[in-house]
Amino acid sequence: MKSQSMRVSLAMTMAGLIGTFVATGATLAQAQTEVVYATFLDPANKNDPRSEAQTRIIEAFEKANPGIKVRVLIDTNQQTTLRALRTKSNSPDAFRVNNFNAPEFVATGSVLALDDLIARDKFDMKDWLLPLDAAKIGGKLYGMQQDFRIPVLLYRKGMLEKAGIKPPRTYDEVCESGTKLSTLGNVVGYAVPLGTSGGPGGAQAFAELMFSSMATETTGKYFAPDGREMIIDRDQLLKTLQMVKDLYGKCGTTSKASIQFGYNEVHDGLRAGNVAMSNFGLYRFRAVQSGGAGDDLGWAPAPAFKADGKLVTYGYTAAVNANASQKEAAWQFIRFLGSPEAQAIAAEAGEVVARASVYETSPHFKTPDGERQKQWSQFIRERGQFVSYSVALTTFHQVLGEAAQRMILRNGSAEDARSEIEKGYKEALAKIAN
Amino acid sequence: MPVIWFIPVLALLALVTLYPTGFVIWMSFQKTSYFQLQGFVGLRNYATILGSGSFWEMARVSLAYLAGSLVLSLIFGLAAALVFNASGRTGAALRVLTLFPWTLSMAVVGSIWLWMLNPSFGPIAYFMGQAGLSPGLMLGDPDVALPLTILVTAWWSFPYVMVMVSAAIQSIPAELYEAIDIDGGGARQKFRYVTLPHLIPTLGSTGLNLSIIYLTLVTLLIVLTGGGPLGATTTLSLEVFRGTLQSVDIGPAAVLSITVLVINIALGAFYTRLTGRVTG
Repeated sequence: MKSQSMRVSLAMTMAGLIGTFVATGATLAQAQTEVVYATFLDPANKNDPRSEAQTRIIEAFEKANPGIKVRVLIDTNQQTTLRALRTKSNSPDAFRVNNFNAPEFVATGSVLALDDLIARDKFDMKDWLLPLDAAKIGGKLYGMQQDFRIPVLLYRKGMLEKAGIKPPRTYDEVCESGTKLSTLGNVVGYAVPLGTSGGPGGAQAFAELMFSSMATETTGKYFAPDGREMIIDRDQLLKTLQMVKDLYGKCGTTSKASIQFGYNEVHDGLRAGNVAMSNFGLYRFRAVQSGGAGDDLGWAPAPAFKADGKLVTYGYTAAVNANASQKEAAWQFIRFLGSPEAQAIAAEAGEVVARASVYETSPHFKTPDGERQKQWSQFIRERGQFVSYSVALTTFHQVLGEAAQRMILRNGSAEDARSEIEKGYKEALAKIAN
Repeated sequence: MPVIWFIPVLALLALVTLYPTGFVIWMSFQKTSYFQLQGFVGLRNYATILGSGSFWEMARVSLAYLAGSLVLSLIFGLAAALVFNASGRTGAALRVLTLFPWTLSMAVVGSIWLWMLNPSFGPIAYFMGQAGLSPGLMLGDPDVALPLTILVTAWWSFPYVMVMVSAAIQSIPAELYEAIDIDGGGARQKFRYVTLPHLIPTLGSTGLNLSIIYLTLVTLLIVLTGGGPLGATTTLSLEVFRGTLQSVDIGPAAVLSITVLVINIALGAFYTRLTGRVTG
């Protein structure tokens, strides 16, 4: 009898324990929502302060939202995410995409417009370095702006001093510096990366760092707001291509070796001292400096046709997959990424963050690095302008690169290069329309 | 029923090989919106692709790339195997060292050679400069980019030939060489009448494997040249990659993919015929 009672007690205890485990598991499963976040920043990369900042931001978010866990999916060139969006996959839930690739992503129909959520949550949309209206695609905002970038002139101080020139402010001054730069010997005076090498993205570095600003300086017109028609002023396009041809030719500023340069070659050239100067993203400054250039690396506003001409600004945004299974949690996460708290952490890693108030409140901007970032933010306010991009930008970069390369390698005219770009892009667009 | 034992492997084959291949063939007759089929278009994709000049240019580049890489790999691989096989222990050690390029990922190989061949700060340009030679634009020169890409590909893949040929050499019965000695023949006769006939099947199957690799290879080209300059190194497979990645309608890319498949099947048939594997 006693043993039977013990067996009953034991069975009840076991059943109770199992029940407790099951209930706890179910509760935990309910409480823990996982957001998959695709980003190029690898949390394991200890050399990149931005990766560490990203980890800190995620930790802060998870602390503020105990029911949501963020899992990082590393997507170095955004192509995994693009393929996921094209196949209407429900993962990743959230992802990083830069302004110039955003139209191509939005064209998949798989990126969530944020306007309704912003209105619903009365999210502050005034505290930005630049108004975000210009970053809208087809009148809608698809991404929470994370940072801003703008081309700057990175140069080796010692080389420019040796050549007896100051950082040029205009392309005419770049051209005039050619003779003096040639005294430096086997050095690319002013690199114009037409990106023969560097992958299927074509002349992306050229387009990002030079062409987009040169071609839109006077009009601000690049592609139509719906991302289809190319609306670059034809005279300005011709002027841009002629300048590129002159830099390689009669100015003698740019050696032909620069034709196959992409981002990495310019980076390495500036770092190792084989390139005297080039337009580059300000986000590379610290990496080039710590990679070998040290205090010899200087920066100045990127040249333009006019000394105070506008330059194209862009940056990374965080967006939500419209097919995501965790849309609301993904929105909460990217909303946090756009908050002053998260932006202050990102600023410490060297980003020119998008939130305006952070520059006044974060102690980081009292440090030398912070002061330089603040100067960049001021530069972006004064000289930066948003432009609209194409839904077929990768193909456009390819067409642009081939036309510019042909012009230099085969001594073609700027007029022919312009025709090739116009025709090639039109054909690419027709394929999309079909 | 013995056939029942084959069902798992047949099912696996159908799932991982036949279904994807069949789907690509079906896709080549479709208009698509990314990966979603939008409607049957008959032979329109084939007409568009085969009627464009760029297709034939890419086919020419692909075959030149294949032929160049294959010839160099086979020559280097055969030579290395013969030399190392005749060099005793030193040869064995060198064989291991020579295998190194083949063990590297293509992205790493591409990055190494991209730096080596950089006309501005690469070591090859430096040494050429020291020797009073102009390096030119190297991979940036449309006339030189393809030969250089072929050289890099051969450098990466010749160790594979070396290993396969070495194994084949070691399986040749020593008596055959002794017979040549008795007949008063020399090294030339040994190679012509013993070594080479024994190696031809190996060279054939190795060549077939490499041909398939070269025809479908994308990573190395992306890293080295991105298909440029001016399309000088754009192969059919690279265009398939681009077309799938960048286009909305990937039906035409499926046609290119089928073309590569057909060439590979033709090469397979040719090699099996050459090496006598079909007729025995």
